[in-house]
Amino acid sequence: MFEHIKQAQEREATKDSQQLINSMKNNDYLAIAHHLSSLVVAVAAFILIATGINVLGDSNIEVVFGYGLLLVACVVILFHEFNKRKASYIQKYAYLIIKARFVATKYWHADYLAKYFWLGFILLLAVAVFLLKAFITGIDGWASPELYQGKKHSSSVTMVITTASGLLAAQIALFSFMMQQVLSKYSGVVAQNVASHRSFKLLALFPIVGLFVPFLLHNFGAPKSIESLLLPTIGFMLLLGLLITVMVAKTGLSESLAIRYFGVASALDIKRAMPAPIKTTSRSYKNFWRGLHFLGLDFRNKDRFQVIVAPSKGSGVAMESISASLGIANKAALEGQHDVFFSSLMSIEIIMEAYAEKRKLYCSSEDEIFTYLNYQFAALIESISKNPNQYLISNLTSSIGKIAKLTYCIGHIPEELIEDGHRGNSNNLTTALWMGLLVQCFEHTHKLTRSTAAHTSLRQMSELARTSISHKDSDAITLTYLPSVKKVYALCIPQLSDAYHKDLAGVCLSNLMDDLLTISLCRDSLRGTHEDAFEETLKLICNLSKLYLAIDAGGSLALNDPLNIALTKSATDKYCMQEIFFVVANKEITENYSYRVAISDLEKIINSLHEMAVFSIERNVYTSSYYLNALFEVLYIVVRGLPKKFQEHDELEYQERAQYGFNRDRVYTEQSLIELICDKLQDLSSKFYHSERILPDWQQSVFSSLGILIIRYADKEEEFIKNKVIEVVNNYYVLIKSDIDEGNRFHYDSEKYLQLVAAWIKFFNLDRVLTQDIEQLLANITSTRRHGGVRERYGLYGYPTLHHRDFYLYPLENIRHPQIMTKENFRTFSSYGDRLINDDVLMPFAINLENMRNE
Amino acid sequence: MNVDNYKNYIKGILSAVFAYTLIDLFFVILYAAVIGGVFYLYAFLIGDFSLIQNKQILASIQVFFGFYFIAISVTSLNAFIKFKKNFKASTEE
Repeated sequence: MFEHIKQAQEREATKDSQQLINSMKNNDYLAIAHHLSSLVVAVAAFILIATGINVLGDSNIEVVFGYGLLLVACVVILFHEFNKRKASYIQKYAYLIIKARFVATKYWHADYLAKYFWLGFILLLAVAVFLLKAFITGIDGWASPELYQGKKHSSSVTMVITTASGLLAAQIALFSFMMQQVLSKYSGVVAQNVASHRSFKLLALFPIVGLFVPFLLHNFGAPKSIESLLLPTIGFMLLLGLLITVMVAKTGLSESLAIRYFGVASALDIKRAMPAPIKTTSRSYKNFWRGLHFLGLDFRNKDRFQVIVAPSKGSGVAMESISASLGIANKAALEGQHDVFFSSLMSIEIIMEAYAEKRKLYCSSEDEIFTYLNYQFAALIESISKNPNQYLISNLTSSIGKIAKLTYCIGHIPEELIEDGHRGNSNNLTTALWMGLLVQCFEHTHKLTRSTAAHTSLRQMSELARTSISHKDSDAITLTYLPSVKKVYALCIPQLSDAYHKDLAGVCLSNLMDDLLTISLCRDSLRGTHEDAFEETLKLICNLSKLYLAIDAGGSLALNDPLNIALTKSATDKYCMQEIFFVVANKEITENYSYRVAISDLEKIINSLHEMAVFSIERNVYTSSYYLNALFEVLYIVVRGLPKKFQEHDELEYQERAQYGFNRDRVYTEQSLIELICDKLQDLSSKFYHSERILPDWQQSVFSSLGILIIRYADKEEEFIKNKVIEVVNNYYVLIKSDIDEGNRFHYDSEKYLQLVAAWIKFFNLDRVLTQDIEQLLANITSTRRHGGVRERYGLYGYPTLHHRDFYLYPLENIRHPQIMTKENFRTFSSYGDRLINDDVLMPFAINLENMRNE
Repeated sequence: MNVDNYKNYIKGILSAVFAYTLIDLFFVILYAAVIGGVFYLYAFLIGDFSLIQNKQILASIQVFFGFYFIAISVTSLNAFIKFKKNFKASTEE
């Protein structure tokens, strides 16, 4: 157990240190943004000042212009100096720097030969500029070709021609070797694509220049100003060109980089082959293109007037590129080339991203490319799952997940085609097919012991579900995701005795909790034709938890059992039911619909907690009291006050009902929720009272709940709270009394908690009769049961103790997120405890009880 | 103002106002050095040192520093006023 706690602590510490590193990186970006922006402003200001002073002269215009520039420089400096201490101002520059860096990194990674192209280009440009400058600055007539034919330059001419020939030979040898030995082994298409890279074209220019220039000089001569400069410069350029050729050939030997580049080049081809459809409603079409059309000058591709189906040329390019990449993937898997396999998958991802970007401009709901890839991947999963290198399938699963998210580009209705502002349902069959593929991945991998693929497929399924939510597609959750989770869970449940499958089942539940949070955040905008996604997800969490507990009620050392997943905040990036309750309660309520949905969801959460708690007690799960802790935390969120929007809508609803003659009492949301939680607590306390194998601390949460309710009654004097508290306490009193009457031994410490709550009821004047009954009962029973061994202050007087301390309110361990519990909230909560546990409240009751016993 | 408050006041001024002023001044000198260095390099490359000895350049540098000193003074004064206001509000609490 301690090992697990240690590991959990290490994981948390790693997250903390990662956060720290991220914040340090952010600070670095802010610092760079500060320095760079300041330097740029300083340089700009200096240039303005220098120009201004330079311009200043005798004429009025010069004076106005000169001083104007100085004024602008002064304003620029003042503006920057004044604003740069504001974080938001510097953050804008930092964001620009991050974006630029991201684009540059993406560019360098995507095109592995680009740097050599730019190197060669700069070299050519530098030579051209150097010669041009020399030519312009010293125009001095024309040198005759005889100079180059004679002794003066003939050796230079020979040397340049030899170097150019050598360079040409080296290029042919190196590039041919590179293409034949490395690239064409996997695919001729890839080799062809790499060979047409611009760096090869540019490098081919070097020997051509090297051969042409001496020829021209030999026959036509040169300008005198560069006559002696030309040949050495060209020679030097050729030598550097040779160096770049060697570097290109060396880098070009990397198969994986070449395959990745193939993806990038194909993506560009797809983008070119799938231009955006022409919108006949646009203003530019109406004015400009119609005019050209009238003149017979509109020669654009007529396929672009089609807005439903994407151009077949684009699909063709995509299909060809994907086929080539799939061929490489298959071959690499057979040969056990992990890096090549990974690169081919990356290449497919890049191609599909480019395709999806263009595909969403067309609204057809069928897509042959995604379907083709789906079928191909299904076959690939089958073959790779038998591969001894079990990491291959993890990579494949990850790629499937990423591509599955792109399926939302299908059936995407362009903005201009939406007339009523309602986009409609964005679901499509293809997404369901890809979810099925992820399930297939899980089916093939959950028995592999040296692969992370099963975990990856679960994570990808959950991420796909969240993508569906972000596209407001509720049906994808209810009809595809939840059944898929059920299927996957069904594979884990029979093998719960095995720690790996236990962990997988836990991950399923954990993912569902995360998805439930996401659904609750986007609840009102979800559109679907079937069941309610929130309700169905909650129900599934409930059912799967029950299924788990039915087979294994022993809990998990890794805190991966249903109770810990749903109810405890064991990691910062994991969300529990209480937090979801808070999110639902604090969501933005804009209209009556969202108000009603929020109330319904809050009630569903409370009912689910109760349902799972009942099942848990029936199964004698030792940690069942977690449900009571959760109910207490949920009650606290309601008791401290729901957002004002609820009260406003409660009032509006009451007025609406009154308008139609339904004159019922006002029922506020807070009241209905408190009553519901009290009912659940009452029912659960009876069940816990009669259970045997549970943590004895369960009474702490129940009486903490009663405590905060009594405080709210003391502050606001709401009658319903008084009634509910009395009802719950009375029920507890009856339980103990019936045990005594029947001669049974009553529940552990129950009389102490009864004494505690009776003291509160008496002090805050809730019910005199009930207090007297309890006093009578306690005076009789404690006469035979003394409190031996207790040393706590109030424990000595018969009040309950917890972990060698007097009773305290349950410390809200799972809702400590700063957005839920502010410092002010903590202070208020702490004051609740002080008001309930003090001499004034507890001592008079205890003394009175002692007197009654002595009588 | 008691001793603790006075200490906090001095610390606040040093960290929230004076530190930034010093940093800004340091960077202005640094920018001037960088710009001057680039200019010197340019003059060296084209072989025309008369650019550096130009009186107008000297005047430009003086104006450049002048503007920066004005800007830093205004910003620091503004930060000082803000700090004083916040400090007063926090001590009254």
